[in-house]
Amino acid sequence: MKPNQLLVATLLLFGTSAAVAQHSGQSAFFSTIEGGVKGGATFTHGFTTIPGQMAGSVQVPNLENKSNGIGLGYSGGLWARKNFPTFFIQAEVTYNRFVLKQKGIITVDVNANPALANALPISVQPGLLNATLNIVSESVLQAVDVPILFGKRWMDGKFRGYAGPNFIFVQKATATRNTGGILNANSAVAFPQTEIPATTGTTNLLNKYEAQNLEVKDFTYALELGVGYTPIPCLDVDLRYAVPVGGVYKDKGIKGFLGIATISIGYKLF
Amino acid sequence: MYSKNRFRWGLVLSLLVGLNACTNNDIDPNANSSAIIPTRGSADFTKYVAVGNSLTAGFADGGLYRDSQLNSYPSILAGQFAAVGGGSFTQPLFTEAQATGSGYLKLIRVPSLADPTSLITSIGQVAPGAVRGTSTNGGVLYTKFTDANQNLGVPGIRTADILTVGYGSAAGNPYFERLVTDPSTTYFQYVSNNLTNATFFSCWLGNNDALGFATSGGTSPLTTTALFTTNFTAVMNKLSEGGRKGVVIGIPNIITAPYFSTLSIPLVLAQINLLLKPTTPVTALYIQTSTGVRATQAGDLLTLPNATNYASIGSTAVGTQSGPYGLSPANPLPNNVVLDAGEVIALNASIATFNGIMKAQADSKGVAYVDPNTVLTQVGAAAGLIQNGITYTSSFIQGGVFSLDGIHLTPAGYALMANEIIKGINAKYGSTISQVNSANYRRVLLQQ
Repeated sequence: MKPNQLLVATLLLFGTSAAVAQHSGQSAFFSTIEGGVKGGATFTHGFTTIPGQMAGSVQVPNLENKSNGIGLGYSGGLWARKNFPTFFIQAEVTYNRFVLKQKGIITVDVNANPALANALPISVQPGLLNATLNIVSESVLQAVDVPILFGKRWMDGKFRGYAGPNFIFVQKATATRNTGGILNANSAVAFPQTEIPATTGTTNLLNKYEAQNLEVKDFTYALELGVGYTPIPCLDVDLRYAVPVGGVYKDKGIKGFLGIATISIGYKLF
Repeated sequence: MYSKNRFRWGLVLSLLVGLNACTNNDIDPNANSSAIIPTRGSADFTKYVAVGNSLTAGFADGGLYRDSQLNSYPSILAGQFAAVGGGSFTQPLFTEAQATGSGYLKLIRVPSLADPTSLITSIGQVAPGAVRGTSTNGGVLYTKFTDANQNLGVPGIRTADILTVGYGSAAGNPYFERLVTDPSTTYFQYVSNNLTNATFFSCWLGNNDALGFATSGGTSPLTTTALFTTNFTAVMNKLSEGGRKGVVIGIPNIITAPYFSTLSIPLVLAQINLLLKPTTPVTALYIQTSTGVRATQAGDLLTLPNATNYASIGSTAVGTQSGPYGLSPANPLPNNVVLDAGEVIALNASIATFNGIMKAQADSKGVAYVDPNTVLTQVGAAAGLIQNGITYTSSFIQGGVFSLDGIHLTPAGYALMANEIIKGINAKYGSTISQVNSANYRRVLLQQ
């Protein structure tokens, strides 16, 4: 986390704690302030449409990245909760790993992809050769999340429902892609259909030179909602779903949907 | 189905990385935190002038044309000099309307290297666009460019020619004729006229003093050492006048170029045995050498432009017609279509002598000397030279370095050479000029 991000995260957490402290005179079934540690698993899925763009003199069409299953990650950190007579505020700082699995098929001019163009033993005039590529990607985002959640209790306080913003400070973002496919034949230039052996490469999505139009924001926010159950007083079981409405990519042209489910267990320390 | 020998697509494609991993060849300037800031060291690049022959002019694919000129190594160097105080760089470009210049070769189909005849059908000719007339000796004359010039490269010029009056006349060299207003101007005078205020020079002369001998199968003479010394000393005295700094580039090892290495004798013999199906396989050709007729031996070289000549091997209707052409001592391949092993020795000895003269001149004038064979040897090695994800070799067409004429370089080849020259300049003058990314320069271009 960059220092300024750390500051923002700290202010958010302690700002909430201060708000909690001002109301600490009231009593409730649960102690007014609770806190502890938590850990769990994240489940990420989504699809993305990367808009077509010019790569040098050739047009790259839209790339439809479809969901390729649910990506499993983890989440762990600290939580604090202030209970009021009718609602509660919960703030957390967690470290998370989100894994997004996608796949897509695209047909592009070989010049659209320098790695492909460079691998050929000759240069090729745009428009003569294209490649159909199967791209299977696994994007991994590691982030410090600071959710501020507002909720309500039912069933003697054992059941909780809540929603709120989640501030996401991206620490690391990489995409590992396995790309294979074929170079399509063009009989006009005696070019035979040629298999492109699948290869795997990893891109740092926070580096604009590597990521290009897929550069990921280092700060974004999500809307999060969830439910929690407290079977015994020291234990919280939570299920949440978050949608990063603040956008993940810097390029506003990238459309799609991303959803993150989290299952966690919290242990109450006080 | 296609032959595995067709092209090494599969092998090279294993270098492939992700589709969106990069949409250009630019390198992250922040990747190396100790990125070097270009500095000029003890040299002054304000006005750069390049002296030389076809390699300096940007000749490629058997011609000089606008695109090849724009990718000449002096143009690439001038682009890098701009970051260390270098000014504009004027080249005698053919206009956009006449962009095809002298005309050139283009790759129009993917050849099968297993079938040498497909090389011929895969290469097309682009018509010239800048011919203005016919010379007195039947050749062509090109559109004039008589403005002040900084790329003084003249295709075909030998060190032996630089003091010759009339070299710029209609009976002389059309590439020089187009640059001068007065046909009696010598190349030396032309260089002198264009050195006004020049602060840095490059000089890559000498190749043609050896190349003509090599491409003629040893029938055109090599420039004598005495004439080479006299003329090269004269041009160096002029270029280094007033302590002007610069760089001298030596002569490449010519026989490693695809012009001489593509049609190897074993390859041709294999084709002959395949096509003629003799009862006992042919194991050698008969060739005429300056010392008599003999069977081919290791070190003899066949040349690319004579492919159609070699296609007649075995015929009794060509040559002396007394026996199969090239397969009988009575009907040998003539001297001019084979560079025999003895001629190769003479050629290499001459190149070594010329390079020695040029290095000694560079040293005595206190300027940089660059041996082009450093990079060409890497390119010629079995594994090639790998840079920016591209494997460069000295193979014809698919090696990426040599253009379709098998002698001159592709834009990528000129970029590799420019980088080698930059290294030499940096080492000599303590400058930190950055090299170019060769991946941004095309190799042989498949086109329609």
